[in-house]
Amino acid sequence: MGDFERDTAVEGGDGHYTATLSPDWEIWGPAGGYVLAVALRAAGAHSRFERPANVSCHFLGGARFGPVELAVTTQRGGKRAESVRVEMTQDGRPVCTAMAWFVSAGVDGWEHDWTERPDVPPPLEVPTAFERFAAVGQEPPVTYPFWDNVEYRPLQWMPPEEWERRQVGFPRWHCWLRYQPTPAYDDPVVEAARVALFFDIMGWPALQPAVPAAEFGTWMAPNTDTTVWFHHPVDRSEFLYLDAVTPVAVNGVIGSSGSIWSEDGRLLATGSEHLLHRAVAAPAPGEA
Amino acid sequence: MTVGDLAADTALEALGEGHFRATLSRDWEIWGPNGGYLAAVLLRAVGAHTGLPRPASLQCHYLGVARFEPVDLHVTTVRAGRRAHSVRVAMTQDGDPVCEALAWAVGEPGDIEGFGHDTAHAPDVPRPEDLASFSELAPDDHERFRFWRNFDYRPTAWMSQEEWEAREPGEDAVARGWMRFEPTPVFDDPWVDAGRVAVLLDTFLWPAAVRAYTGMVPFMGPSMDLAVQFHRSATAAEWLLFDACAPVGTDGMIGGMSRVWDGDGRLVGSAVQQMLVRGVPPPHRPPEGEAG
Repeated sequence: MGDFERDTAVEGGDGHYTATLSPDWEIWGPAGGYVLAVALRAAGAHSRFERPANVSCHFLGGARFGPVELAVTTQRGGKRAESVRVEMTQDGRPVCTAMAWFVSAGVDGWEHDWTERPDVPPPLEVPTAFERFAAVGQEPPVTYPFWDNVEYRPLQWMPPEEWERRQVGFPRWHCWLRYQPTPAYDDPVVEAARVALFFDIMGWPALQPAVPAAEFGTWMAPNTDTTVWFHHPVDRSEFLYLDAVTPVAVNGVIGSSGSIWSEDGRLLATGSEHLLHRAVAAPAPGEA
Repeated sequence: MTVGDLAADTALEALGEGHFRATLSRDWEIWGPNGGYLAAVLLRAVGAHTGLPRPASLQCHYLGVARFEPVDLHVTTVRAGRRAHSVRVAMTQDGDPVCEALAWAVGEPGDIEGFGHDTAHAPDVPRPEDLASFSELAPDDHERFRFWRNFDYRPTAWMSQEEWEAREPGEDAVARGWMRFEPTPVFDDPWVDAGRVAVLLDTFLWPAAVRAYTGMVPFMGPSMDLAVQFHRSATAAEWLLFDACAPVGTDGMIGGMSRVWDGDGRLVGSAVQQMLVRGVPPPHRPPEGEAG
């Protein structure tokens, strides 16, 4: 099992940082959200400000689990905000490029919030995926190491044989998520990265209800880009409610969007993600 | 009365090795050059550089306010695959940064086969022919910024000035309306077409945000960024419906999302955007009379 803060840590300074991608965050290779989180940590280490406003990331090539280098530059620095660019490479090959805005903690302004979290049961009233399998007398399938780091409580679930017979439905995925073994952190950049990671994960599971069962497992859709906008501070909310939809797939380009909410109902971030169809089956756990 | 033409006003001069030059037209002025217009110029540069026919996404940081004068664009390919290119484009003016963007361009639809679905539903609003235009509803406001002369803009709902100043906050922070570009409503070039969508996705978050407040707001919210997903071409759609909402403003930032639909109710583009609040009043009342 990984530890998010440790496994996304960066070392260095003056715009040059290093990190080590941990195999504990494998989904089809290093999970894109994990790579994004490392890039955001590097941007945060470089910026004069500690409050991320947004981050956009292009995923450029698969990486190995091992050391990566991060070059960070300021695109524009003002009194209240700084735009930062990150280039992550491994052995000279591009892994991702990201841009992030950071703002001063002292920025104030008019306030409004008309958002309302969907009316869902509190997390501890929702069974975990393991509990759901156990309830129908089945062992959970072997999955990627990434999911060992997350307590996953799905709000929609059906037993495997029912899933195989399902009709195509609305492409939504919503659930409660909590990191383990450490659910929350003090560093606001780590907290933002903890939230940002899931915007890269959401598109594929949200897509699944719209995929005919016969097509499942014959293709995959790696991410091309993910963007996240941060709203309220995370404030150590251990459980995160993720609500994602993947409403449109046209000519192999698949668009997804979602929101993440705190346990007390505050909108923490919204985000979007693009996936590109590939007509090959996803690698099995450990095969990436 | 002059109006801009998006294709002409985003045209580029190719200077070689990824270097292009454009001249920002004052016809797209709204608090300076409109952010969506800048995004449209960036998209032209991406399209010219990659040669690929299909914009997939754009993520743009707005870094400084430009004058209505020439700008330089430097485009580099970050990664070129068989089916998709990741491209970085920087816009500067006299060496000062204006905006910096990343974009994905992809191949022809036939080059990327894949499973397809569409479960997105356009909002149920009146058709444009059943709505009054902004130029009729608020002729003074329409004339104040040249930007609005580039469109036949038909908001789906409207308040008089008196109703607007007396409104109660509490309704959804939403803005909706139909837009048709003038004098040229549609463009065959997919990158100009994408720019048309980007202009609408960028413009209406502010009109949506001010719905959350009462009276004349004493602050403005310049855009920090814009991130767009392009879902499909809209080259045949003269009228486009925008649907923007800005549900959260907290600690000096306002966030929201926009979508653009064609006249057949198909989702063309989606965007999310963040604005950084400045404690100075906007130059004038924006066309925020939409009641959603």
